[in-house]
Amino acid sequence: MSNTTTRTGQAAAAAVMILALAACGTMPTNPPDAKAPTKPTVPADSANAPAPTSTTPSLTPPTYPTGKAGIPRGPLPNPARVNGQDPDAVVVAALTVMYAMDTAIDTTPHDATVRAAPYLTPAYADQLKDHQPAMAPGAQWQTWTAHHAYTTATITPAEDPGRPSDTPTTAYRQYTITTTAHGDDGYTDPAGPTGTAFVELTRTDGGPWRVATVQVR
Amino acid sequence: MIKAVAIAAGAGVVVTAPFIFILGFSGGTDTTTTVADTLDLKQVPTVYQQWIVKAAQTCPQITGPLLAAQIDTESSWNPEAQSPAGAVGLSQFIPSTWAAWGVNGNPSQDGTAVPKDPADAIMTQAKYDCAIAAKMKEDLKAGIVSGDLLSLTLAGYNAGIDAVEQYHGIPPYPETQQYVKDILSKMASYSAPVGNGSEQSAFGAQVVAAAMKWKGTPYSWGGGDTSGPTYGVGEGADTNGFDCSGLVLYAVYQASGGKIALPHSSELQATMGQEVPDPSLMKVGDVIAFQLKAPGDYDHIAIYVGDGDFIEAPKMGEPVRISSLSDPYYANRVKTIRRFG
Repeated sequence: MSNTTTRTGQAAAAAVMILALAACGTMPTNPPDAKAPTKPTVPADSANAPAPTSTTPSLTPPTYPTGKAGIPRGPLPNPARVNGQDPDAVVVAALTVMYAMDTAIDTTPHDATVRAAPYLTPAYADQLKDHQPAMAPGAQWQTWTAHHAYTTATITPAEDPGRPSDTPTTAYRQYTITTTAHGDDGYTDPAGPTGTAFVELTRTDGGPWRVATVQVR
Repeated sequence: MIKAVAIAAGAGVVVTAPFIFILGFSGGTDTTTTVADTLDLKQVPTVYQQWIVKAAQTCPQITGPLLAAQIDTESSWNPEAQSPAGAVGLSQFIPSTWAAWGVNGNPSQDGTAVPKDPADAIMTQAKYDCAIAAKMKEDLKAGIVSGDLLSLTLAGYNAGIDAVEQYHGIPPYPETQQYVKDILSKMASYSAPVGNGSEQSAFGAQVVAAAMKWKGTPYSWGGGDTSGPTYGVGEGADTNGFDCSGLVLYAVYQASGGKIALPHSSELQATMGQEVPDPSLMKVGDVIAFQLKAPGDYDHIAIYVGDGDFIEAPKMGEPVRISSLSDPYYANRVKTIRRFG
């Protein structure tokens, strides 16, 4: 996918640092470094290794092909008009783009998430861009493809009194997502993906808020 | 304001002790996902029933409801399904994965492993799932990843296990997170009801029993799923626990025998189930949603345990606890009462 990503190394470094601070527990936790070395699960080059047994194939599957560059048909926010000083506006914009899928250009829902880059920290944008799903997108996507469908998302605020308070550099938000697919000949499917997104935003030096990670639960 | 005080006073101290206790549950055991193990055979198309039952015997972690939910999601039980990128059959394996993993599920009837053969597809699905589960179990023991074994297995299936290892848990890809959540939810519709069925008081008692099991568990924003406490988000990222709607969705799922998978949002939960129109009609196990911060916004949710008390996951630093409806903090709030069984 070709996306314009603003690369501000400084901001990325700061974002990673903040995440690392947030995750300084005794157990390994999700985020921080996109560039952490990945370990192959089986020796990639087994010239000197014993011959792999034929009964244990690789658990590192090939990836599913990526989609095409292009603009999805659903309504999208205009990055120039999204108020970067308002974390809610940034979250809504990011989730709207992430769930604006289009079977005319995308091969899986993941392709849409990559397009949210303008609203993401460079580190998170890279994490998404560097990934491709291992498996096919499934039956609902197939049906949508047959109907030449795209999706639109409704993003609604959700609250829990335990949400962490905003600091000058970190904010958390919780939104629910519902999606509807729209296809040719009036086809609609209101039963697209739904979920609750827990979103972490970061910023540096009073700059615009950017989404540092999303967890859909 | 109240929240800020609570965080400052409690977060560092209160969380620590129960945290260690909970690690025993999440670190490498797979005992938390028991409710949804029993397949509701009626939900599976007749011609595939015997294969789902057989495939579910491949390994203990991969159950009938799980296999059925995956195949439903992959192909909607259409053995002829084919994606433009060449994913084929009930299980939608792409050709190279099939070449590595495909097994012949019914050798007495034919000689080769074919992705469009339902028996082969279902048995291969189980073999592949089990291999991922075994690897994830190993990684949990080694401390490489943390989380619920089933969720990690599904993430490994969707994103590849390298991605799960790289991020030490479910990776930050919404598509993968969505897959994990959707399969766990869909398992509910393939799970047989357990216990005494629909007797109202029994259901309510089970909701309470499920929630009470976790009394004292830390609050964790974003924490809790259908199988128990989970690591949360932000300040909750290091804490294995529940937030308010996480506790409710867990308890209702458990009490319903895996039949009801609620969304992780108090606002949405407050609109679901059957409304109990008057507090005087409230029964044990009913769910109470509160408007704490702003009018019109059901931002908190809890479970009625009787005698004017309820169990809740209140906020950061304050573990799952029993509170009283007569407490002035809760007494005069707008509430809605919902019943799920």
